[in-house]
Amino acid sequence: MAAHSGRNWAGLMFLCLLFVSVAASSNVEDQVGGFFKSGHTNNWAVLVCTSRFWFNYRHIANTLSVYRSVKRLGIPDSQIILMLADDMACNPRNPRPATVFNNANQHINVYGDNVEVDYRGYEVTVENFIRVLTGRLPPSTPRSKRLLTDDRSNVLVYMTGHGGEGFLKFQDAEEISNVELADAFQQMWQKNRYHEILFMIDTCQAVSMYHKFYSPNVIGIGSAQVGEDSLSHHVDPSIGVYIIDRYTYYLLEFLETVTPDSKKTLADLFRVCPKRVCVSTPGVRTDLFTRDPNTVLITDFFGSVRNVEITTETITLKRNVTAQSCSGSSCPGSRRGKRRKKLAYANQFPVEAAYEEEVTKPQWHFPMYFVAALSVFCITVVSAFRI
Amino acid sequence: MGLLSDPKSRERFSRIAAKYNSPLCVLAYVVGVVWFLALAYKPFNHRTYFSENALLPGLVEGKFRTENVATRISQAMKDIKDVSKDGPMPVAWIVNQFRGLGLDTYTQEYIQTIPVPSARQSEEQGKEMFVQLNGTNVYAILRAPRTASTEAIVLSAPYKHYLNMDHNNHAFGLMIALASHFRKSSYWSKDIIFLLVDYDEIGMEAWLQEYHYTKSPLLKSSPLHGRSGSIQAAINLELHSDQVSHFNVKLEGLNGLLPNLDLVNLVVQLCGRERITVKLHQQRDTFPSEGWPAFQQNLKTMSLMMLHQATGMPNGLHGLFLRYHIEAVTLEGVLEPGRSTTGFYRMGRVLEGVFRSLNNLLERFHQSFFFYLLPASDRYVSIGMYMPPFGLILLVTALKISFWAVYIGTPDPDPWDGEENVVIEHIHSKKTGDGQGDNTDSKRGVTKIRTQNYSDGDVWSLVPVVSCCQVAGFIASISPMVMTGLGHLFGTRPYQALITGATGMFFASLFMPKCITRNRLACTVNTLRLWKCAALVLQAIILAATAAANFSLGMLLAVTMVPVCAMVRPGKLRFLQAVLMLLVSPLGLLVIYTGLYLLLTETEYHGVVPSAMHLCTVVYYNILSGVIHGYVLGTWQYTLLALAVFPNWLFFWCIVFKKRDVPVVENKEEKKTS
Repeated sequence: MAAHSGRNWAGLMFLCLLFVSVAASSNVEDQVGGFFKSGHTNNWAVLVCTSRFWFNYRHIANTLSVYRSVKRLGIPDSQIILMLADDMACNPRNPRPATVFNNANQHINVYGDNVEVDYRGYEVTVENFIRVLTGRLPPSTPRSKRLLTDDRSNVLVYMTGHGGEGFLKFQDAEEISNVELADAFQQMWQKNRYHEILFMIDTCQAVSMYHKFYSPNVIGIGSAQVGEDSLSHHVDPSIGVYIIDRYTYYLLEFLETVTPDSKKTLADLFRVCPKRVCVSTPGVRTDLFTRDPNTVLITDFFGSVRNVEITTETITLKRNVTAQSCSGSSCPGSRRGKRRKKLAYANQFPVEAAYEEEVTKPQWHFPMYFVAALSVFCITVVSAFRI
Repeated sequence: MGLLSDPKSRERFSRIAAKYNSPLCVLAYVVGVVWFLALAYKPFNHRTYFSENALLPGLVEGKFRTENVATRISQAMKDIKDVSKDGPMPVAWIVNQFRGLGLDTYTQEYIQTIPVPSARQSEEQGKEMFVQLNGTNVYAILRAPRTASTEAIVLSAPYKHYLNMDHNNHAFGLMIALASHFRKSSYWSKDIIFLLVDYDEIGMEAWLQEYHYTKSPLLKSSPLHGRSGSIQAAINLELHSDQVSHFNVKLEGLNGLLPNLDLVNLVVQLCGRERITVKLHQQRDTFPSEGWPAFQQNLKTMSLMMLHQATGMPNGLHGLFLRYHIEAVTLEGVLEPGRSTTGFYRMGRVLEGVFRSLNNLLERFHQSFFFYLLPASDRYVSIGMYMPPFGLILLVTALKISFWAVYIGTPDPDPWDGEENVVIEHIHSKKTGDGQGDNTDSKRGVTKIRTQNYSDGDVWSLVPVVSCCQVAGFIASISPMVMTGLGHLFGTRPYQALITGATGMFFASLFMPKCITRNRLACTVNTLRLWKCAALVLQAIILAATAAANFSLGMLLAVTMVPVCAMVRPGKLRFLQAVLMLLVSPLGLLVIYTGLYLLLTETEYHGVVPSAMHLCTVVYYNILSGVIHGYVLGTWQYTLLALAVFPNWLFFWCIVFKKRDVPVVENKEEKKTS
């Protein structure tokens, strides 16, 4: 399976690095100190808009704007899972067909070229979202719709829609609870599917969605406290809808200033939308995160920056320190050494098992009441004959 | 019984209800009425709000600029009208106007038969005995460019034929201007149907029936050649001039149906955005909105709304849409002298905003209230708020029922002079075994004693009186038809015959108690109690059911009928009771409420006699339109009054005039012993 190959590939890389480290000397170790500071080798983004309908135009615009920003900072389409629950560009109510704007000035058509929507319309369901996160997708799923992360992946999860305390509504039919989401992240952790996660959510009562998280190395950012509404920023009178949400608007304003080589840190990100402009109070949760947000670069999550340092000497590398910093049995590094039995996924549709069961079980099956009735009948007949 | 409820506690309740009956009744009634009136006061009602997110009212900027088209078209239509005088609707010209814009334009012809013999044609002894109206509706469909035609919204306007009135040419002008503006845009997700209706309600009914494939035997129309999807909402436009001072928003539809409050809010809010005054029943919202004058004004607006709603007659073409669960309102542009006016430009912008909001709808209106009263254009009283006071008023009836039910089977504590004393004497004498005095009926050989019947009332005695009342009601309900038929034979004018039929039955039935007393039914005090109970139960059922269907009608009936009917009892103060009963009779109520309506609408007062004449005229037309609308549009208010409220009232009327008989009862024990 594709997830396996991705992990094997990453493992191979790691072994190569170890091999290199054994062979090389350590003259320029100071220079290379920051090279593996973040501990990740690849970046992924899962961007989800969960709401349908024309009056939720702003949620599509939010998601597409973040999509555009992370793409600009270097995450390729192959590593972005974009889920859009509705198609505003083709909505008949849209006076500007085939466009989605995130500002009344209409400078940027965020639905312009090269937008690859992985899950659209009714495909955006809680099940699909959880399956994408945990990697339990049907074998027929193309690679572009899979989250092929490994234990060196930094994942940005951005969600927007209509939420309440402890849940986020998907479409108009279902919702994901904060417990389900927390469990999904824990599964990802157990399956070595991430290194660090930046979870960002722009809904009403957003912070309730990360309250139940318990997996390590996760940062949660929410646009509104419990009991607060997350508000929209402004209306485009020519389109006739609220066009973007406040938190995302200021987030984008901030991201516009970020370049792939910028030194802005997560601490700057936490400050993008003060209550003065946001009206709601954004919240942050960092207790599961081991690194100091003041030293973590924005581009660790919002970009895909490969550090390239050219040295003339061979460098001896030690085992990655940050990987060891995770505690106890949940550390991916500690488990890597163990040789484990190769596991296989259970078939999603246990057709064969059912078929076998059907074959092995006796074909004749009498319900109890039939047997009882038959015996009563027999007794009656027998007794009648005897009389 | 008694498994889940404690019969003892129930007994206690009914004993308390019986003991303090009158004060409790007065309390419930007064509290109910005061509470209901207080709902018009600002702190007791709520501010309207948008329940439907999808509407996005007023977010979009208006781009309507074709007001000159409106002016040109309305002037052209007026010119045609001036030339043709009172001619038919200029169908070809109207079709050309729509075709000129490139819209799919169709016409629909219809013939409506009004089941009233026509005075003119009766002389000819012709084939057609009834009045017939024929007309032609014109409609044009603007197809939504980027969706299938699965949904539609309607902009309609009536073409009025009345003499010395303008015939709504301004509304047509504005309609064409909006059509020319709308068809330039690509953002429509629903088809827009522009509908010009011939002959007000009848034309609209013909079009709607044909659109929804419903048939009526009296209305024949040609099929619609062009269609669209299911209609989501409709706006009906009536403009009295090209400059209006305010929009009068009309809500009340057929049988008291109301459009969804979200649609009303939408219209009110968008008018406010364009600074056009909105009035309900020509009543302006007050400022400041609190205090005594504001309360009076709000109460007035609410009462007018209730009086309108109670009639069950639509006060605009929108009312007919409501039967098909299509939310609709009528915007009536009125020019009031001395006020600042608004031209086609801003009216067009309001309608553009309304249509763009309706265009945003994703599903039918379902969020906000369907049952409400409006004391002001931005305040509402919902069904949850107005039902408790109504329940309190009905509680009076319930208390009275329990009161009379408790006393069935007990002797009259308050016997009539003469009769009862004698009876009691006889009972005593019977107990002493000396019962065969002067009461021996030698004819049948059975000893009979005049006695007060202490047993439960005779249930079977209800059958003749109730059925008599119902038959009277049935005759009243068909009397207009029968009388117009009869009047036709005698050459009476149909409308006069119709009125004579409706009112004649009423007056004739006033003599019913006379006929009932003549029969041989033994009517003891307990039988009368039973009658009273049954009448009250019937009344409670009728009023509750009416209020569920048409709250205003139920409330207006309850507030007057309940106290009077709770008080009446046979015997004392018969004249006063009769007067009160006549006041709350269906006809009396019609006169009272018509008078109230005239008072509230500040009709000019010219002295007692002219005002009374005017009142009579209005009552006359109300009955007439009630009956005619019943036939043509299917309103049920006249039928309800004739078949339910009137028989019930007649029942009470019989109770008032019922003579209590002291029955002659066979004394079987006496026979056995002797």
